[in-house]
Amino acid sequence: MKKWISLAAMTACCGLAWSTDRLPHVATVSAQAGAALYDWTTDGGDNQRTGWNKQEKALTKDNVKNLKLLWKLETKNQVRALHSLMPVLVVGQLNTPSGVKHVGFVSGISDNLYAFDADTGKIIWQKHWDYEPPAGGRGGGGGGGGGGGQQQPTDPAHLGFLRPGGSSDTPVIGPPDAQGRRPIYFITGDGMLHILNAATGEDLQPSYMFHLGKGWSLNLVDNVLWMANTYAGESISAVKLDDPRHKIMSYNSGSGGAWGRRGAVIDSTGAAWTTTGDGIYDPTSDPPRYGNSVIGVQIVGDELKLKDYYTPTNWDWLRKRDLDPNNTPTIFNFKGRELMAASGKECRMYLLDPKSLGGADHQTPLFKTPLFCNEEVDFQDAGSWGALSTWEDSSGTRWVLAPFWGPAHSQAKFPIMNTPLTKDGGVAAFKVEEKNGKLELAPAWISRDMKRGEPVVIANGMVFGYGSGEETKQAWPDIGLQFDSTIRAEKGTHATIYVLDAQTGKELWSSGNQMHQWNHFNGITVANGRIYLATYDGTLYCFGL
Amino acid sequence: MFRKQMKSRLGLIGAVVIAAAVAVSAQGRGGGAWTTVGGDAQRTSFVRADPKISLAAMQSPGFQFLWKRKLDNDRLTQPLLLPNIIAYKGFKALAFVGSASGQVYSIDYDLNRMFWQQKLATSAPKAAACSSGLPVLTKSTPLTPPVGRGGGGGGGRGRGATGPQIANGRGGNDNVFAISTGGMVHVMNPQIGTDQVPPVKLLPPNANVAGSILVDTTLYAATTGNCSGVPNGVWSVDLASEAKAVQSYDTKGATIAGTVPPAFGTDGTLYIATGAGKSEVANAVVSLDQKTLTQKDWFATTTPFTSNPVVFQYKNKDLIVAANKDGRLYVLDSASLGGTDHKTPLHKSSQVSAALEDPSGLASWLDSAGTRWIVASVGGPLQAETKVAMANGTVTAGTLVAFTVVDQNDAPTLQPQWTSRDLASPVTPVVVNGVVFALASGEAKGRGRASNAVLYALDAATGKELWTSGTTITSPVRGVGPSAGDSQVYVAASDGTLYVFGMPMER
Repeated sequence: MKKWISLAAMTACCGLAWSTDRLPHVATVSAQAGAALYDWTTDGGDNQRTGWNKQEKALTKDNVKNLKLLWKLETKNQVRALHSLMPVLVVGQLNTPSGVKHVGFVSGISDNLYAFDADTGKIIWQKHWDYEPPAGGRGGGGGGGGGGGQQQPTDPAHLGFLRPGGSSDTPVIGPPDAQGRRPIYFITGDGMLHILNAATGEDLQPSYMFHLGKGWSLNLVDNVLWMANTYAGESISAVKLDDPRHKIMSYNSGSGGAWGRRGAVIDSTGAAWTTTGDGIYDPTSDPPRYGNSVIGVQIVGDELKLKDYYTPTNWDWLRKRDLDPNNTPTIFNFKGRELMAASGKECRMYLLDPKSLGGADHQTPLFKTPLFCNEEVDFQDAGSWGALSTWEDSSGTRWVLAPFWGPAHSQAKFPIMNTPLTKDGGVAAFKVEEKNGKLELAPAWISRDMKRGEPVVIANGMVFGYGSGEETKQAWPDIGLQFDSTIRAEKGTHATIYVLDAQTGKELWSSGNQMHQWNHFNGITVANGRIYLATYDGTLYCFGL
Repeated sequence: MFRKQMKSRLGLIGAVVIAAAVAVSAQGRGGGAWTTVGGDAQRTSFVRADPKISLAAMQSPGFQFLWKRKLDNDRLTQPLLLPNIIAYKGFKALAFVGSASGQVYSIDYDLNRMFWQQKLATSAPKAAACSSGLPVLTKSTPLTPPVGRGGGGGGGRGRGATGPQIANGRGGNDNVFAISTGGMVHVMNPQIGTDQVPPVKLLPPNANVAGSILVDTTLYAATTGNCSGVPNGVWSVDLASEAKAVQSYDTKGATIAGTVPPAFGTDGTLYIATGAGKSEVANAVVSLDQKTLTQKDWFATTTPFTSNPVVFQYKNKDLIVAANKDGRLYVLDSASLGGTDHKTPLHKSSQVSAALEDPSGLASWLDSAGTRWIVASVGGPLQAETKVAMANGTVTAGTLVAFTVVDQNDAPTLQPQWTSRDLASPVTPVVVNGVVFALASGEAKGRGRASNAVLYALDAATGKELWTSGTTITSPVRGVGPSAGDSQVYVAASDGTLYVFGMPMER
């Protein structure tokens, strides 16, 4: 294995206690130049994957009109299939060998991890891992629903978009260790877990095998690392970081695969939940199959056990048209009660109770919305993809937001329909309401049109979303179904960031055409007055005031 | 350069999708493709498996009228079904229907949404009165139906160009093949209906095409009625060939019987049955070579055949059954159709009716116990000579008669088992997983008056009525049997309305 580190190892220390526990929190480390710089240590900001940044104060509804491109970082990450860079993580103040810095971290699909100066966009350290391709094609390629083992193209840009291989996860940053070092956890495409010193990129301990598959954003809960996976027969994997055996706990839903980009979502009991994607639902089979479902697992001893699940009653239809629940749910409190919202390509939103996810029959949600998009019944250019987000405004109203592709459903009745009306995608906002003792998701607004609306972050009363500009089609009339990612890559346009008023969805600012390329399964980050989003060519854009 | 890159790209992708299709189709996303009239190359009209239709399911509420759509003002072809295609607008389940106005319709059958419609540009300006006036549709059909499926197809993501490579592989075996009334073959893009290649000449204009099928890369059609001067016979063209030369077999005037000729044996041999004429092969069942269409063998009798042959497997042999105007069904051995004198069938049934109407329809299925069944649609009352184990009421207008194939003296025989309820002008039924769907077409025969068609579900073991469409269908059906797949049954009414019945799916 070849490793290289651009800067030598340096001693770091950080004196404040830190933890990534089950409830949303962001730790303010210290103040710099009069502004409190905070951390964004995991995709979605917390383990509930709310996407809600409670700390942001620098960006306001009044000043976002002044947002401008601060810098661009060209990482030169080699693409694999359609993947390039993952969402940015941030440590507000990190003790580095060259002093306290505001540091961002971004991983690349080709087993790259970059630490950069958030103020300047200059790389502080970067690290790359090489390894022999995993056997059986598990390292990527292919494209269909079948197994690996296909002949791999020499150019990873041609890989099938379903199986990019490489490091598809977003890392997670842990609290300081006894020496004050901030660990960053990252799974490379060979399945190895690397625990690095965020300040230097040095290994804090030897790497070990975690899970080989198409992993999504990592969760760190207390001392347990979680990862949801699409392939390789394991839906969720976890390891207790203090287990000297490094025993990997895993649970297989029996069918389908997790596709939620923010990975698993963790409830207040420590159970991890994920949608299971396209597959068969048959709880009576041996082993049982829970495709097209939302499943939750919990640690029992040193194993993962199914805790509960919810399967929509129309799962067979979802299966037939590939409209599965496929995004990361979000968990939140509403009037003292823990709730979960989930959605997917069909384009409904489900309101669920983690204490009894689908009721006695596992198929009864607290509430489900009518279709709000995907009237076409199209798995590729429509539906909700990625992850849901949630926040609570100052009046106590709980909001749940879903990104979506394609136009809003013609029968979707939202009080506010922003313009231009959605054609290629957008964001739908719902309010959680209680009526006659029953919970509902009440439509609130739909954003302006975005070319493939992606998961949002909410900060300081604003929604930070983007249209990826990606070509999402998988089949064409002239060439049929094609998995070679370059076909789609050639047809992409460019990503566009939109800042919206979180109460109305009204557009406050847009990046216009400042970003020159599209992205795929990326994610927007907002932290300390900066907005981060990357494009397919490996360029990381930073906008700010 | 681009073409070279594309070729290489397609080659890689082809390998990928074939591997992927194996895994995904095993789990069955959609199912029950109906690729050609009669359901398969043997023209059995048998849907071997269905996830929702079964004898048990039909004995409970559930099966029902789902939707109807007025497509045209005149006759329609039997709908073909593609239960799963990954199209540019997502996974689609499509029914393809042709109309007398030269249109081909593609309907998302789960949603009753038009996906595309195309007028065949080579349609004859005016249809000949001697022809049906309909385009003839087929899809690529395997010689032997996949185990557990109704006729190929299905699958999921990864499905692609695994069939005949026509037009650089575009669309693969999902293409729709339509013969226009102008005699031209259109290879239609299943996603949008456009021509994948320029139309290919197969027949003179305004022939009366009795049936067609595409096996491997060759399209076959049978013509009858000497319509517009087009000889009665079988025609073929290899659509993957450079020359696209047309082969033909001329019956020398003998008509070709039935609604879905030709039928294929599992070895690729073609079978047709002929009616009256002065030809040497009149009143015969004839086998033809798959490549050259040269005659291989024949069985001849003295009265015209009134159905196309149906091929079925019995003790690992292909047997052929066809209905004759003498009121009997003839069972023939594919290894020697009529023995050395070409006049000796394996078996001749008892006389079912005084005269089996033209056309008669046959279907065949294998039940869960391994018993082979043949069912025939019969006009008029049953002849006393035929004694059935179970009669389901008095028959006056017509009925279905079901037989089991049973060995007697080491030879297969047809043993009458049941007759259905009375049916007005029954057409070829379809058999789905232990359930026979019989269609009383209501078509006027002789001096009788037409009536609205009625679909019935019958217990395939007893003929007992399980369900009826009642008065849902508001016009007759003209000679088009129902098709079925994906837990649905399709009826094309003569007023241009397509009716769909089936098990609803929650959406």
